[in-house]
Amino acid sequence: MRKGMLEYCILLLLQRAPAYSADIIKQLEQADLIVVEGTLYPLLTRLKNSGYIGYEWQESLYGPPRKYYNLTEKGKEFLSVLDQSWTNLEKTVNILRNTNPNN
Amino acid sequence: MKKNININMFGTIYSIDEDACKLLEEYIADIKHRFSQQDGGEEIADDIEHRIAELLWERKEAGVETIDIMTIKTILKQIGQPEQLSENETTSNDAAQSKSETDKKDGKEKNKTARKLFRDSQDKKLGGVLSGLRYYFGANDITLIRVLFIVACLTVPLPLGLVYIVMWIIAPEAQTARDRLLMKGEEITPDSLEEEIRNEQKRDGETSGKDGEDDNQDKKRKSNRTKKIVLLLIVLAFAMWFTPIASIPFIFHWPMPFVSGTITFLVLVLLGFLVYKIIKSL
Repeated sequence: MRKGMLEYCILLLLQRAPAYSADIIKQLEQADLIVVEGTLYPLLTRLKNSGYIGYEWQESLYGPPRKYYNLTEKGKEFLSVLDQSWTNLEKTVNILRNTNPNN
Repeated sequence: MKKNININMFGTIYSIDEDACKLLEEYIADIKHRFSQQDGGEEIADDIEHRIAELLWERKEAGVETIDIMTIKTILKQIGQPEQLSENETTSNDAAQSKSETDKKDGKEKNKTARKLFRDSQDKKLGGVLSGLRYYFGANDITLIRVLFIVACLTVPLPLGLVYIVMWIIAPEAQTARDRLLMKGEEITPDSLEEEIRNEQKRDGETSGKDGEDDNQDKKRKSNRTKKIVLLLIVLAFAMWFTPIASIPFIFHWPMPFVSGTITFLVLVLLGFLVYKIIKSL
């Protein structure tokens, strides 16, 4: 569940704009989703190998070159599927939470 | 006073303390090793290395002249222990919970980690074989083992000296802190690596005259294995030619194995020394 959530969040982040790993980490940390940075790298590599995301190297003014990840077409499709299931999930949870058992 | 090393990570030079450098090297090697079986593992390790370089760069920009071991520890903690990285992926539990669980598990299994046979180059008389074997079998008193082995060489009608030489050639030398932890069957974590490196340096300090030798050993590490295997074959051929002569007296003069045992031992020790010289000159 956590892992799936993380993947979903990464894809959501990349949908907005291409980002490199430290950006992603920073934003995920704000959401308390990630414990140690290193967890992210296997995940990114897996998403990349599944063809959902791609990357390009970019020179950085702040240290070594960075990999900027972006969403591929396949990733966009996958994301819309995830969006759909998230909406469904949200709906269900909301119904369950808001239904007063006494009524 | 501390020795300083310049390292180059993706084109930038960082000045780093010797112990910090060792810890970093060990960590990266461990990451590479751990992910090597995984799909795209090389890439993951490379990404992590890039990230470390970037964090070092931040420190450098902030005016830190020399990176010390505490800085490296902080960075490695931020990135996570190698176990955490591969385990977290498969656990679906709450992270904190799974972390404490693995911590517990690690604590229990600390002594159960599989040992690997290495030659202990830091406590050796000849090749460090016995010293390495003692860790392998979980024995402690090295002097006792040495005495027992020599006694056994002189009395037991087996070419133990030959066995020693073969093991000398086959067993790799424990050169890094990681090797030493594996040799002792201890868990590899940034903390344990750091401790091992500290211990190493203490020993280095005690025998500071050996510094040059250590450098040589680092270079020797790259000496390729095929050469060693050829040498092994030569020694085996030698031994096959020699052993029958040595062991025939055992069979025919069983009541007096002492004399021929001594000869076997001495000749084989001599052979061992020859091999040692050859390996060193590689």
